[in-house]
Amino acid sequence: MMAIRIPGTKYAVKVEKRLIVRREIPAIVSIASAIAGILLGGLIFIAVGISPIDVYSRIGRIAISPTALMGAIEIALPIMFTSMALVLPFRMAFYNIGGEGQFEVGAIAAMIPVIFYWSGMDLPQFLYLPIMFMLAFIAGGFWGLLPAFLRAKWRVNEILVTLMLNTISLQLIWWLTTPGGPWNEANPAFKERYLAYLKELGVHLIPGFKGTPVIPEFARLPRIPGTLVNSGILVAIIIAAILYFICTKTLLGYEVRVVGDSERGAMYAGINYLKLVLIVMFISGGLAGLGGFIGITAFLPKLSPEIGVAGYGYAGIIVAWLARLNPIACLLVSFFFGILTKSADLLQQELKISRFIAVGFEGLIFILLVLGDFFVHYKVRLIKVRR
Amino acid sequence: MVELTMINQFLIGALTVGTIYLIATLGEVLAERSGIVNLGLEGLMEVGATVGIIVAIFTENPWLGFLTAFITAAIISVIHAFACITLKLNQFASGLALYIFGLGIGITFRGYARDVMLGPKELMKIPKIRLYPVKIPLLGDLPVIGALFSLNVMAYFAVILSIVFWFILFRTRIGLDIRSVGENPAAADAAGINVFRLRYIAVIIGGGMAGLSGAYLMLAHTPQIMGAPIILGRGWIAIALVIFSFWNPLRALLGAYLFGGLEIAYFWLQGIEIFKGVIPLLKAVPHVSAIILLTIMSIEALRRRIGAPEALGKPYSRE
Amino acid sequence: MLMKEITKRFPGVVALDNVTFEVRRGEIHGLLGENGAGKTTLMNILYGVYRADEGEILINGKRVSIKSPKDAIKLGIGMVPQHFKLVMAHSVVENVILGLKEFGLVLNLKEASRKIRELAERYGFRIDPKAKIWQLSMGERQYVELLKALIRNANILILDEPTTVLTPQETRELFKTLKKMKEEGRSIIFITHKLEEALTVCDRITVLRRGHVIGTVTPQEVTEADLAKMMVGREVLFRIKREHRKVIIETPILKVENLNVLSDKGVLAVKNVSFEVYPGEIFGIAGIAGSGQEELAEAIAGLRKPLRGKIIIEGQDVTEASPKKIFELGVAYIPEDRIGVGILPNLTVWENIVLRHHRYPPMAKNVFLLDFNEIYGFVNRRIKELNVITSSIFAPAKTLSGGNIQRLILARELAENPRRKTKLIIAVYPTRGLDVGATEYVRKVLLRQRDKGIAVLLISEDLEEILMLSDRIAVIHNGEIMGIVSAEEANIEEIGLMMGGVLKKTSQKVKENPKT
Repeated sequence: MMAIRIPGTKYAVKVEKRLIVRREIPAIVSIASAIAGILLGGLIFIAVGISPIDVYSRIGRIAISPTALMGAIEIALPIMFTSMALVLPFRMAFYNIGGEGQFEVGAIAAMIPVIFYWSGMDLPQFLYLPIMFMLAFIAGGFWGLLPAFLRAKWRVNEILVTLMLNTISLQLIWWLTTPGGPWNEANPAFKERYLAYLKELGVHLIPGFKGTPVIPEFARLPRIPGTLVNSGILVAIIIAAILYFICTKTLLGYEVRVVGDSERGAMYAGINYLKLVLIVMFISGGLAGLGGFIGITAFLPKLSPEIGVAGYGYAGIIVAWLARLNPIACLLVSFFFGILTKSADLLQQELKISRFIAVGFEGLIFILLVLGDFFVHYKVRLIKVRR
Repeated sequence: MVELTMINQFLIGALTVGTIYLIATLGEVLAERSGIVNLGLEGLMEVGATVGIIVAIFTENPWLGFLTAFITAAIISVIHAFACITLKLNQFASGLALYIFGLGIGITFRGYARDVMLGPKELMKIPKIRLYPVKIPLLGDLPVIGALFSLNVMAYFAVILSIVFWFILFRTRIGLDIRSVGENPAAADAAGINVFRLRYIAVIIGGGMAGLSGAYLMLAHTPQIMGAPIILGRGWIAIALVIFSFWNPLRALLGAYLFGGLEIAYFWLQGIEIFKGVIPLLKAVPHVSAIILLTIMSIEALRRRIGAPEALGKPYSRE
Repeated sequence: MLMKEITKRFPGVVALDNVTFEVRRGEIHGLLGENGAGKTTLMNILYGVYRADEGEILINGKRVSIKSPKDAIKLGIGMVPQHFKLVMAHSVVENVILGLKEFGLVLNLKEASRKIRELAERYGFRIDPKAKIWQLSMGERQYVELLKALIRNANILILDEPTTVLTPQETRELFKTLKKMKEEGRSIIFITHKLEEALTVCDRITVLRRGHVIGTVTPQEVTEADLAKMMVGREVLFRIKREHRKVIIETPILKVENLNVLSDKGVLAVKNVSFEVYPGEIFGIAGIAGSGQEELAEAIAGLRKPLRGKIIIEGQDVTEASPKKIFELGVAYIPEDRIGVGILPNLTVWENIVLRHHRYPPMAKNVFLLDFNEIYGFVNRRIKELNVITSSIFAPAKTLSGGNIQRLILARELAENPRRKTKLIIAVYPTRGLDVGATEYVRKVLLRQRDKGIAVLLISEDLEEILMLSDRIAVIHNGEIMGIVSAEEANIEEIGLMMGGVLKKTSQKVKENPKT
């Protein structure tokens, strides 16, 4: 197809289009770009005057220390959900960049029963987790429906709409949790119960704190008995399995593939795009919303603007891409990202570099991954040229 | 008279902030007219903000800040151009990657600069390098429209730029070439136009403009040096404004100032009693407006059957 | 101009093998060959789109290197490609001057428009320089391409299958223009696969077959049959001898009443069209590509909402029906755009064949689950029946050849399931771009279906194909039906006049149903 002679040698680089892409090639490119990203990222450290060797050895230590590993899982868990959320929409070429917002409204919705609880309204304790779970899924799902509807009906660019919704949901959290806001922990409505609870724990309210009251123990996701791992991981594994099944064995998965390859072809085949995209985005938003539920019930355990700063939704995009939209691979790649982000947090404390360096790294890996796609589509070989 | 000054102040604010959007939107209009979407605007603006303020502080010259911000963002855009034009890869993915990369390094280096490079002595220089409104004598004193003549130099420059962009795109040979490349690269290629080179130029200049816009935000609007995001979604609104402007640099003026106004309205509205409880929600007003406007424009585009350049988002390959 | 010993290889094929081709000053030189013979490849090498692996090009005896269309233009080579390379959203003048430097950096469009009018006058045609390309007919667009070459002073003009988009009358006009150009000393390379045209207009004819030059002849020394033999490599029967059927006028399968359909650009593409298609007939719609037949077919298939009018299939009003509903009624649709609409290029062969059938039992166990045993069985049966050649049912559909892609589409569209019996086939340009073998196969399949009592709506720009297959022929011009004739009384001259909009036959031989 194309051959470029390397000057001064008898060789040329030959580029050929691959007609059939073998299965392992995308995986190899993903892994290679992650490794290359980490190595190239060393340049960022050099630029800020830190020895990359030092950094890598710290990351290495983190990767094997149990406590830091726990921390990595903590970060990875929400990303598992925000990345798996993108498997279906990205497969149908619907670019849902709104995982972040769907995650946030999921977290908000999950807080509702807790807020009622602190205001003095009780439910049987065993009902809290299932209700929060469902509310998070439904809220995230509805947040995902708007861009889907606008796109299907009037071809409104879904990337832009989902992004705008991200900012809107974050502002919603700010409004709810800011001092004087309706869900702020200092709200008089919570006074009776919450102050008593805090007294029991021996802590005081910090004036001006942005955040809701904490989630009571019975409404938090427990650890898997006998381990340090949060049981949210089990939910993630079950969802990965279900998604995998949907992609490979069902009508929905098949129609998603059809739309992803050609929207016109799908229309001609009689596939109802509006219906399909609404279903897919409800699931997608719902899963991201579940990430929000996990994020607040497993770890924080409260709602504050902090969860927006962490960028779980955006990380999910890169993870989904690295995992080649395979839900099971999403779990593994999320864990890798957990380590990366945890390392950045520790580096921030130890070396005084912004934690955003992790975002820079992720971006770099993403860029290399995109560039690496070239090797998925093309075969590059060194050939000898005839005179 | 008090009322009038308030309107004046508001307009000055709207036009000043609108210029952030305008510069970035113009760059994206250029890139998209050539057929390439660059979703990395937000990230490039973060980088531009960082580079612009740091260089301006050390050289004590805002213009060098603008220049280096432009060049840095342009250089980063080469990656995007290479991925989309030479390697013919997915433009959305590449743009998103650029966004996240730019966001990460832009903020990292800004934080690093504040913590390590800049002492109190350097920070003291900020007021000296800022761009201030320049009131044109007489005209600037007119009621209401006086605001149009009380802006900073870059704001005037941006207006001129949009006229220049319009003229180049619609009245010159180069503009015809760029538009043709974005509509039908095969036709342009057959006419002997170097599609690849033109697209590279458009993407690189377009990206550079995003850097310029970020630097302008720092130097003319909010000179805050901290390790946190500062563009806050303005890059994405700029991309939405490209659609709003139907890829026309003159219409971009309208959209940019509209959003400048919406953004600045926040400072005015938060003082009003009834909004006291929902101040953070006021910040979302531009984004809600953007969704509504995008929807209206999309319906309008469908109805009038006008739309994006035909080849937008599609890589060109000869075979 | 001489192209000497040109060889060009593409992955897996040798497109041109040692081809030598010579054109003299002031001649019209025909380049004849089947689809895939290498005509277009050879011309793309001359025009700098591709580069030859071996061989050289000489112009006026001097060796030249043509690396890009730019070089070709400099050397006075101009091309009117088969698929026009025009910017639809721009005006004629903007298209014509694209890439030219002489109208200044700040464009002087007035001057350019004047020059365009002047050129058009000189060669005897009319065109509005301010008109946007999308508003023009295919014939007018071809003149824009011609203007592009002329304004660049092309001395060697390549025309790639120019008559495909023209009526017989327009073709004659074009030939007049070409002769004028020849008299001015320009050389014209005329690519075609139509023997008759080559014999009428060319001074010499070179025949290509599978990348080889078979010979160069003058029209005086050969007959149509000789040329055909050179082109195909064997004796060709000119007419598939077949009985035209007497159409039994009873209940129509498809009835279209006063249909009006908009194009993508919002222009009325189909105007007050009415006709009926009966079981066991092939109803051909003749017309130049772009006369509204694509929109008409899309409307019947449910892909485009009509503006006004009615579409009735077996007595059911389906004007507002979805593609899914129309498919269920037994309509098979073979779309114009094979890749992108007809198939899903990156999905596998099985995914493409089960498409549209996937939601019905037994392919689907319920609304949620697919039954893969059933699907693979179905796919394998369909592949066998239509002889789709593929390495595996798991291969991406885009790896198939053009003919096999069309077979794949037929395999899917003609498949029946317990809920669906094929009753009507809408075939839009079903043999466009296919080689002889595949073309013959597709035509046979259509005839076989007709013999089974299925109604076929055949849309084609190839008049010969329409005449060969159809039992009744409707002619469409600019969105209007100019007349409907039966195959026996069809007269190519008359059809040509109708295609060009000159003649309108109002007396239709179809029984009108007064009730509707």
